[in-house]
Amino acid sequence: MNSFVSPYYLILSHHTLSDSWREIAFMLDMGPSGKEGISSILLAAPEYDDNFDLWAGPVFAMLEKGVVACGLEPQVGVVCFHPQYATPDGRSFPGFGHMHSVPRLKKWLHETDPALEKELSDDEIAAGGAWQRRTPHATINVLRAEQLEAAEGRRSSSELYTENIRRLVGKTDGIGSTKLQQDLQREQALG
Amino acid sequence: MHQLLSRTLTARFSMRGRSGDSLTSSSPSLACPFSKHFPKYRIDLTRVQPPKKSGLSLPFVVHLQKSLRKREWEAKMSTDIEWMETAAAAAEGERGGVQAITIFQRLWDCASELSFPSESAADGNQQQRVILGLTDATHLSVVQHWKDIFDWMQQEDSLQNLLGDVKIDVTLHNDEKGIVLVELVSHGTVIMSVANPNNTYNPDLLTEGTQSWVKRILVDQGICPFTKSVKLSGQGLGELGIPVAKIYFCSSDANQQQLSKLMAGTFRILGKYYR
Repeated sequence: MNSFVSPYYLILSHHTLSDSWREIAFMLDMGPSGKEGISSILLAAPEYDDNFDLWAGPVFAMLEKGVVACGLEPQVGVVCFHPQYATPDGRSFPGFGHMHSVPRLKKWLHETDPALEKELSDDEIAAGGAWQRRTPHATINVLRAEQLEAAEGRRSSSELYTENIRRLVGKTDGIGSTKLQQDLQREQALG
Repeated sequence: MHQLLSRTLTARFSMRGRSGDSLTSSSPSLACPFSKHFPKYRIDLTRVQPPKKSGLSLPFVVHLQKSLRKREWEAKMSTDIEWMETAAAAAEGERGGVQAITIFQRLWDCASELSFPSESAADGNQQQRVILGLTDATHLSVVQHWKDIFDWMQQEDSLQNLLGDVKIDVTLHNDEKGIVLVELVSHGTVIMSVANPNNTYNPDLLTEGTQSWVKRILVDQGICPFTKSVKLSGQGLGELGIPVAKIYFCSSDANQQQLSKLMAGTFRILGKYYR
């Protein structure tokens, strides 16, 4: 018999009543489907909003190593989002939960839409990458590996990222960084 | 969301070196605000030999032996021990994880409480001590790896200004009966965990903001082709056996000094995910 103490016992023992009720409400909301009922988790931590270096560095280093230590790598990925998100410059490897580097995005633009690549500076391409990861608050995204694998087989990275950059910062029909920043600030002001 | 995250899938990474810069505030780039050189961080995990399998014994005999050993340990440590009645890790099969996650969460919780005790629990420079007991040695690697990560956090130069004066010594004890103890002892001036009158933390409003972002960026702009609504994702993957399922929105009020609290909260949520 598995005599392991339920994680929910621990939750109820060590967290505030309001937290506990939120968890219970969550469980009820999820219904009987259990883990199959959740596709991904978005956990916001607003106190980290002004420190992207801490969030993207030590915090994600410890999180990703924790996932490895718990043997969860085959099942989940943790992904970094932040209101000050910056695209890796390609001179270092920040880990697997980050946006592709500027040189790689530029290469994909060149392969998929050379006109767009010519239209955008490297800084604008970086912005196109960053805006895909700029959430209102510092956020940890947990995703199921099996879903990611399936999604990977369903699309071309070069085409998808090129289209995303065009929609966000393209000169002709993109939203533009000014509007994207305004929208983000409006969402930040909510809470 | 899925398309943003492909690199989380298969590879394992090892981060090495570090920047040497303090992380107490953002470091604005002199150049483009959208591009950044990421310092590398390396956390090494100790290789732990799996415990030898003991011979077959009747379950009640094993239970009795462990009960006696637990009493012996409590007498030896001269304190109460918080026991987590863990089953053998192998019982979880290839899924792994759920017990490891709960152990991680509880250890981060203990560290958080020692660093930021509630007002009634702390007394200035008083030494604080917590002992967590596990009843199956197959989790020894989990607690050793938690200790590796925790020790790294305490020693990482860039975090010193954030973490302050409190240091927590972590010691592991184990015996031939499969009992594993994690002893945490704090030193230094603890920071009382008191309510911040300026704290505007509101989980519901945070969720509202994040959901607005999901709609604006992922759904309306089609940035993630497999997220078609604010509450559900996985659309378009049914043929591959992936069901459409809910997106769970949650939040943490941990501040930048409370890294242990943030970690505990995250592993608590992960435990929910794997239940």
